[in-house]
Amino acid sequence: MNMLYILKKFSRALLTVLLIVTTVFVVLRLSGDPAIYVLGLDADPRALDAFRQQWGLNLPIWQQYLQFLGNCLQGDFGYSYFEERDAITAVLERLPKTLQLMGITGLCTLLIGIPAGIYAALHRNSWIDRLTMLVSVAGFSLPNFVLGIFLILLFSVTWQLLPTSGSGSWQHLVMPVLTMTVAEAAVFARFTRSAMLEVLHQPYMRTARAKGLRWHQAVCRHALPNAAIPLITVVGFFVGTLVAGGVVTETLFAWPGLGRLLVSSVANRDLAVVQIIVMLIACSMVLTNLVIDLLYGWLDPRVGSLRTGD
Amino acid sequence: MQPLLETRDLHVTFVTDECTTQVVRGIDLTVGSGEIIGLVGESGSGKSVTCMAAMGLLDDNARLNGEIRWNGKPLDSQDDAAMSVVRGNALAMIFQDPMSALNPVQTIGKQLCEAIRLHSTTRPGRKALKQRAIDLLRDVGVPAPEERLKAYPHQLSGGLNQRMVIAMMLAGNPSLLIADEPTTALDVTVQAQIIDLLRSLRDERGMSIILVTHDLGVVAQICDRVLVMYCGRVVESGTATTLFRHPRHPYTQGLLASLPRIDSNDDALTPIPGVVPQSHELGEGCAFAPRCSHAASSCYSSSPDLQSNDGAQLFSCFFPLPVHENREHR
Repeated sequence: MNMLYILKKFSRALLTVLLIVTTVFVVLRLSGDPAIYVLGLDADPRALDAFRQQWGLNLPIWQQYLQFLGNCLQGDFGYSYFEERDAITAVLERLPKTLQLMGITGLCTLLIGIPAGIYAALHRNSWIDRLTMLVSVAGFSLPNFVLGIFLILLFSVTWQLLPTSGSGSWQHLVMPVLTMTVAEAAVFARFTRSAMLEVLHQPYMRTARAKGLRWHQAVCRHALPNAAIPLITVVGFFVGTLVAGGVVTETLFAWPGLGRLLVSSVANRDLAVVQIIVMLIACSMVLTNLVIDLLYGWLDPRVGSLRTGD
Repeated sequence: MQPLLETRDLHVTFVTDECTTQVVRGIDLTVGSGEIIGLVGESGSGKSVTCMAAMGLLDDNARLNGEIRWNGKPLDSQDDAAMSVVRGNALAMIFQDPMSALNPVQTIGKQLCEAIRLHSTTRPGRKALKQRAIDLLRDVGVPAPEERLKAYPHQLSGGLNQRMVIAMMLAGNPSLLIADEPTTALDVTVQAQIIDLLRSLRDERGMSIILVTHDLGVVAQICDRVLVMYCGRVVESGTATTLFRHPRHPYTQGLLASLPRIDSNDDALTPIPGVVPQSHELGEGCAFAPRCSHAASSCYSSSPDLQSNDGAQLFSCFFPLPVHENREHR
């Protein structure tokens, strides 16, 4: 039963990845000729033909697709026309920078958003609650490229405190992290607040206090574990928005990560690179969802017993 | 004898941005040791709020007036620190829906042991803790208690969950248990078992019980004294026997008349006409007057105080029902 469950989950995950990769493969090939992007519009037609011949771009698209799948299975993820080396090397080189940005942003988001939401819920209708919610609305209504440009104007141009772009020191991290954290933490504060409010008025909170727990004890031991369940769902979406926000933010601050590589590779029709990055993102999303599913079972015994068929 | 719990002229008002609502309007309640008191009345009569006030479990927007005394000492029921010492230890409470009264993500055992740990002066070891939990579950009649400790609330029936909540509340050996409609959400057969359990708690432990219910049948079964509430006031009180035999307040009579009777051939029930008025609709007069067939013009201009002929049965009515008329009715 359990083995079957995991197998089912795994094959579904694989199918999802395959679907995404296929879509990207087709769309990329239909939307432009890499030969022209690499060699230029005024290139010799014979050179263009030779380029297409070299990379199999003259074959029908289904043949290209099968070849691509076959190569992937053998661990060959293609060649970057633009950087003139294996695409996977180009991608893996950028990965640590993106992970660094995402990790720090994720941590800041959770550390700010969740406590702010809990505090607002516990002091409902106080001025702090209203202020938190006001800031939160402002935070997630502000598009991150606007906020980013505003920060550059303020910290780099006017006050000249922080470098506008690039990476290498902690100063470089401040603005990209801030740009992404503001919107994400705002969403988290909101969700946490409503999850807490929902839970605080449950009858079991009354029972907990009736048996002699102080208010704060009841909150810590009974309200928080229950409020964590709906929050887990948001964490799933969060990983997705981190990736999407990362693309914009990395481009804005010239952060040498995957997001920026993705944007430039799409523009250059560097097909192999785009495909690898999309595959990576798809895999990380699928993995996140799998982890969330398992977390649900762990946090909420009602889900677990449904699964094992008790 | 010193009463265990006493409220004097208790008022509870809920304040929101839009309006203030007075839900309890001067309740005098006295609970003696080993007594089972019934609080009856329709929904919205302030029964539950009175109990929550005594437990100090009202929301922050509640304003309390009047006095609550525990063993003669005043109780500041809005002081969380002070009340947490009293709650579970001196007075405890069980609730209407046992399925939602337990934390769904914790095992019964964990929640029960938490209560035990809260009320023990020394830190009990794991084995002692488990043994005490099993003893408590056995006390409230849970079969196979060892296995139940590992169960989650959703795996048990409503009746079992209510026993779990009762066991949890017994952990601190309280002298008074407030039961707020403990059987409303349960099957009829299970209701009877829970009522039996409550009675045995009184008989074996000498525990006092306040039973909030609108089931007059249950009240007749186990209550010593009954308070009939209407619109935040007590309209009649007395021993269960006299109140059911000779109701003096028309509302009490109305409640009794609206019960189906097994020995009557008459299929039709006699409901009380009208609905319970909202608190903002209440004027100077008797709150029940608009629904009362005996009401005269004086009933609308001033509200009667609780009065008594014999000292035992109290009623607040200008035109109490004569005792003989009730005999006929029964």
